[in-house]
Amino acid sequence: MTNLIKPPLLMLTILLSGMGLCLIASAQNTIGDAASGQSENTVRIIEPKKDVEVAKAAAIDDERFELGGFTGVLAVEDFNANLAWGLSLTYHISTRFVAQVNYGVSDIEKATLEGDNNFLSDSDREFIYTNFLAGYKILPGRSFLGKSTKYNSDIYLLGGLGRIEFAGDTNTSFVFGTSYRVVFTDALTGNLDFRGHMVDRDFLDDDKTTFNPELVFGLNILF
Amino acid sequence: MDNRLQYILLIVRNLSFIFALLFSTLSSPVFAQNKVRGEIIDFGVNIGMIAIEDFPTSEALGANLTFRATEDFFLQLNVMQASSVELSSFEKQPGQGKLFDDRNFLHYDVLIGYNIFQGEFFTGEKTANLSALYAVAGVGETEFGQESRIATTIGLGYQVAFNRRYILRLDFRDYISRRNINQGDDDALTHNFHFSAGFSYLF
Repeated sequence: MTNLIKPPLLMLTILLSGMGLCLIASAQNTIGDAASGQSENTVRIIEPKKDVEVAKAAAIDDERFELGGFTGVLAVEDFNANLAWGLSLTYHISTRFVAQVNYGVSDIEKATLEGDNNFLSDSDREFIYTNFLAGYKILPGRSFLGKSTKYNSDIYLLGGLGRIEFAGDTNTSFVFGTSYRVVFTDALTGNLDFRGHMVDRDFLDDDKTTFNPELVFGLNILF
Repeated sequence: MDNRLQYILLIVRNLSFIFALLFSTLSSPVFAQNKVRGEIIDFGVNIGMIAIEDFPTSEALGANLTFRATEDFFLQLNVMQASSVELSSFEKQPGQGKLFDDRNFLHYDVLIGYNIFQGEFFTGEKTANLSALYAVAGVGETEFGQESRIATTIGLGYQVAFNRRYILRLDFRDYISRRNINQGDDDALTHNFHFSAGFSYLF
């Protein structure tokens, strides 16, 4: 009888021992606490660098006005190309549309064909213009200066009307052009503008429509 | 005679520079390893206005061939023409009359360009195309008023690529040259502004 009981008892003992070992192993996560041997050789987890540069776009939120100055060159038909300078005020109506007022001045030198004559008085040699333009942002984009600097930049189409005083005459002008505008910071923008001033002029009994192109650089405060 | 000699020397110098740059670029490791051979030359045409000093602003047509030497630098050959420059107000004065019969303004030059601002612009929410603001400078020749003079060219331009091969360019150029339209003793230094919009194909 005792011999009959022994084999099942032995199997039960082995089974329980096996289960016990499994429980111990699972508690230690390794059989026989194999990981204890690594306590001297600890696993080193390499953490990725988390200092990813965050792109800093100019924080333009409620700024709608740009006030600035510009300087460049103006070519006057039948005369010559001269330095021009002026002031500019831009209002951002929406993300796409702007309204702009420009005031500019240029002193026009004597034309070569005037020779020794003075066809114009000194005051009439001042080319003074005021124009009211509407602009549409045709191409929004970004510009890169070097490898690590980028700015928001946009291309605008400009068009509008103006008033030009020159050669003793004051006339309404039609103005069109393009503007490349760069947002340097949320307080400073730059622009490179081409503007064409079309105006009727009656000079030396020659009444005609003249086209006077201008290229200017400007810096503006954004507020 | 001096001007002609200077002109020849300038042409020789410019051509030497172009060939040196072309050779160094095509033999560079990038070109050699990747066998990049195409998309470095574009050809374009343009239309615009030229404000000729002392004369009326006139319509102008032009063409250019651009070689992209590096990512930042390029070389450009240009030719432009304004074929019918009208009489200036001064020429219409009684007793003055037309200064010369040939009213053709022809200019050609060799320029070196540098991309100041390379960029991208967005035609849609998920579409970005390449663009660049560049400056150019070089030498050439201007023929106007029965004179042919060496000219210095400086300018600015903006180009946008509407796909990989079609490029739109807006350019401003100042052709600076001497002129003696009064047939006097002194030459006058003239600035002639050329504004143009053009289209180029990259091949």
